[in-house]
Amino acid sequence: MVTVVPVDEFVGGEWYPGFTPAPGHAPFVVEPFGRFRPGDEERFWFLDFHWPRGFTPLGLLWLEEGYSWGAQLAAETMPLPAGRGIALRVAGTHVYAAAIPLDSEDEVAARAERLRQTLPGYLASFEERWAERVAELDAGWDRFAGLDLARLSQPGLQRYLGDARSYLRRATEIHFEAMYPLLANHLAFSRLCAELAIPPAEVAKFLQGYDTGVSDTDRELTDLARQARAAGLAPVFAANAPDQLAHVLSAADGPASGWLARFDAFLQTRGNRIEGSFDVALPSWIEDPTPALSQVRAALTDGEHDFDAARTAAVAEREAAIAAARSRLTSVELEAFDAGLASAQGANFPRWQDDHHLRIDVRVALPLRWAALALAERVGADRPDDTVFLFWPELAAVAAGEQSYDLYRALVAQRRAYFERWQQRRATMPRVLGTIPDQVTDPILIEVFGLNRQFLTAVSVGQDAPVTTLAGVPAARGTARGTARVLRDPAELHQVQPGEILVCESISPSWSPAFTRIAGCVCDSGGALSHAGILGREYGVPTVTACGVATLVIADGDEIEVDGAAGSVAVFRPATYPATYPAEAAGGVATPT
Amino acid sequence: MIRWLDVAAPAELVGAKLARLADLRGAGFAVPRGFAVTTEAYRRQRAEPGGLASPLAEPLRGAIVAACAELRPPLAVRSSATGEDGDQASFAGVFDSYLGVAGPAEALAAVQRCWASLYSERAREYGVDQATASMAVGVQEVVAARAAGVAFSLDPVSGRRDRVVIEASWGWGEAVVQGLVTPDRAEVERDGRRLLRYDVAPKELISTPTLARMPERLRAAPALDGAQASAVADMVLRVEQHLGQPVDVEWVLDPAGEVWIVQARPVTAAPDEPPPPRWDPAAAITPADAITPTTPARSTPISRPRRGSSPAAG
Repeated sequence: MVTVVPVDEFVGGEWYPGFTPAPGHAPFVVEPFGRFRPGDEERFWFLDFHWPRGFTPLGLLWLEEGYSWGAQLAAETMPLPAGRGIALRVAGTHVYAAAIPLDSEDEVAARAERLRQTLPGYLASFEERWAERVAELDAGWDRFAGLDLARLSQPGLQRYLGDARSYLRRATEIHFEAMYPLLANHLAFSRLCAELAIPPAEVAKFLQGYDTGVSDTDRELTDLARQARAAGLAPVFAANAPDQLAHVLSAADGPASGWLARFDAFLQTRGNRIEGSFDVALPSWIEDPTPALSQVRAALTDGEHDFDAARTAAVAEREAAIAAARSRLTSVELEAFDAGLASAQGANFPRWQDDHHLRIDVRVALPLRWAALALAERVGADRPDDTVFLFWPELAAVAAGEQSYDLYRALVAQRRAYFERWQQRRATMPRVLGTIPDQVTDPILIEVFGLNRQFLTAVSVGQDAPVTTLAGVPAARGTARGTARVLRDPAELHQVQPGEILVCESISPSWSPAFTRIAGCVCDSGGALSHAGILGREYGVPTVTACGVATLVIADGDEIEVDGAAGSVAVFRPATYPATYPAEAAGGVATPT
Repeated sequence: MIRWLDVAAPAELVGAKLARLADLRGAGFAVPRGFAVTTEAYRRQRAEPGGLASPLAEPLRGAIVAACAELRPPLAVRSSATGEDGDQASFAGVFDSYLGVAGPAEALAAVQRCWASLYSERAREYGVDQATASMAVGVQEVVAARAAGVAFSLDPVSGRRDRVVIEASWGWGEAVVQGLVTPDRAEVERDGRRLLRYDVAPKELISTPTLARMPERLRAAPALDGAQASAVADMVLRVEQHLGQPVDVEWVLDPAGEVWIVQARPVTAAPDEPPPPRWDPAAAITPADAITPTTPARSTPISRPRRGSSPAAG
């Protein structure tokens, strides 16, 4: 059964007034960015959760030559063997993404071979390479931050605008250039650890406790909270909502003004960041300090956080987790584990996540924003950020003096209304569009967008179908999916139909005839060496034992999937079942997110 | 018509299971003392006018009673069919076994019930050829069990040969074998016999040898310590070496700390050994069919599974 979510509404549907997009007018690597088009229904599109507000016209520039360009460029140069990066479409103001498949198996094999040549060297020298990129990003940043936009000539502002656009694109290239190899490295290490029976929670510990810039900001905010308390400002913070604090504190006399001076100094070094990623439409903390004030307010009520102690504890926990994992490995396993650990720590994806987030995601759109806002001021726009509702060619024409801003004044108001209307629609936007596959094969997409089996099942059968997973002991390998048959008595054995999955408390030899018919077997008790395991292995029937409550949780007729290697049983319940059922209250049931 | 299990005995006379135990006991392994009522005895009794169910004929009856008198009760009486526990299939648990048999009279009855189990529906469904099969019956001393369980000289689920997998619980091993209790699980490295991991399970039931609720204080207590797990693994690996193939052993740890072999059989179905783990940073994002292995995967089939089925690849 194939589920198709129609894309019709978004093909040639409503669009920002007063601008006709020309897909493909800009350079692209594999596939141009654009609106949904006929034929897109055959592909699988998922709503990109990174940008819940939607995009303004100037924000769309980044989708086109940042996100779409950067992801495809990195996928081609690395190269990624399983796909050619990410294709993007916009519906209203919201962005959907899809995989770009490769044309042939030969191409996959050739790219896999190239990757095998290039990836180890990249990872081994990651620290130096990343340091080079950081230097490039910082040098660009310093140039923009060092210029006073108010003093620039009109041609100077026009050049600044163009440079800021290039900076945003280049920073996005750097983002994807590092993200793909680091993610590959991280996924490979996670997979190796899974093969070595190391739980995922432990893998996270192996990579924690390395310094990132994130804690610097948090430390300074904690210091500011301490100073606010010392200045007797705690009651002011407690009495006012975060978005009122800036106003209230400015209006207050005495200690508040001294504290605000310190807070402003903090914002000058740490405040060039937005509450989102790459979006030119979002204000920085300097423009709107509510997020920072909210953190100070939380620190005042939550009490002191000892950053040094937390860091020391994280390092100790990391080293203990590594020692414990190593003690459980054979000498051959240790060799692979140590090599993987060194690679995963050296080119550390979680650490890079924090690091690049501050250096790239939250700040590289700011120079473009500053230039756009400066232009808005010069042309006397009605609101300071009206220019983010211009498309790039319009903005460039206004900056060059080729077009009067007055032409757009009324249009900007309409576009703002359009943006806000689509922002209201966000909650009801379909999570996926087009043809939903049984599974997504690109591990990068699965990891970045959470496109696992549970997600696909949920979007296929409807949001309200509960999915439950039982964990047990892997007793016979293989996977099987089918209808559950819950048996409590061998006398009922004749009821088992071919292809069904047998669910029972335990297996005695008298159950063996069923093993010629069943596709899988799930038991409440027993180990891998019990009869159930022996029969499962002998008959090639995927078997999971020691699930605890399988006969309580699973009902006759449920669709279930047995993974005999992982020791898990996924229960896919028809949507007609009640949302809660008693076994969940009894415990022992994990509900995956 | 009875044969002491002190030295190797032919399988057609005592069944594969008892032949293996006799072989191991003869080689110095800790196997409980006992004797086999041979297949020849089975055939003679079957030829009696009343058949297998008629009262045991002399001189067999007298021989069993006399032999029982040399053993210290309680006794264990176990089936050992020809073909059972051979290289083709485990027949695990298909035929009857009796633990805690008090003396000669009960032993005689248990022997006859074992014979009868060859004709059970269960045996027929499992594919026993009742026309040609024959059955010996073992009568052995019962070892006092502090803990017991099952151990494989490889990981039967993953196929890995670098470790011994042990499942253990308190008391006798029947609850473990039948899957009535979720046992503790230990993995011991083949080289060096180092304990790699020990996962304690909440053990609800115990074979005493009759089935009972596990005493509260023992439920979450590990049934083996590290040294005991290593000792079990060492015994299993020595059995594997002696028999020349991977084995599955039912073992008992007595209060004095000795590890006894209650049953040993070749592993009948296990996946091919997977290639050893290797670090490859590109592995996770490379589609499986695009991988050209640098070293061919080794294929070490342990035995042919029965009935044309094969363990599904994981």
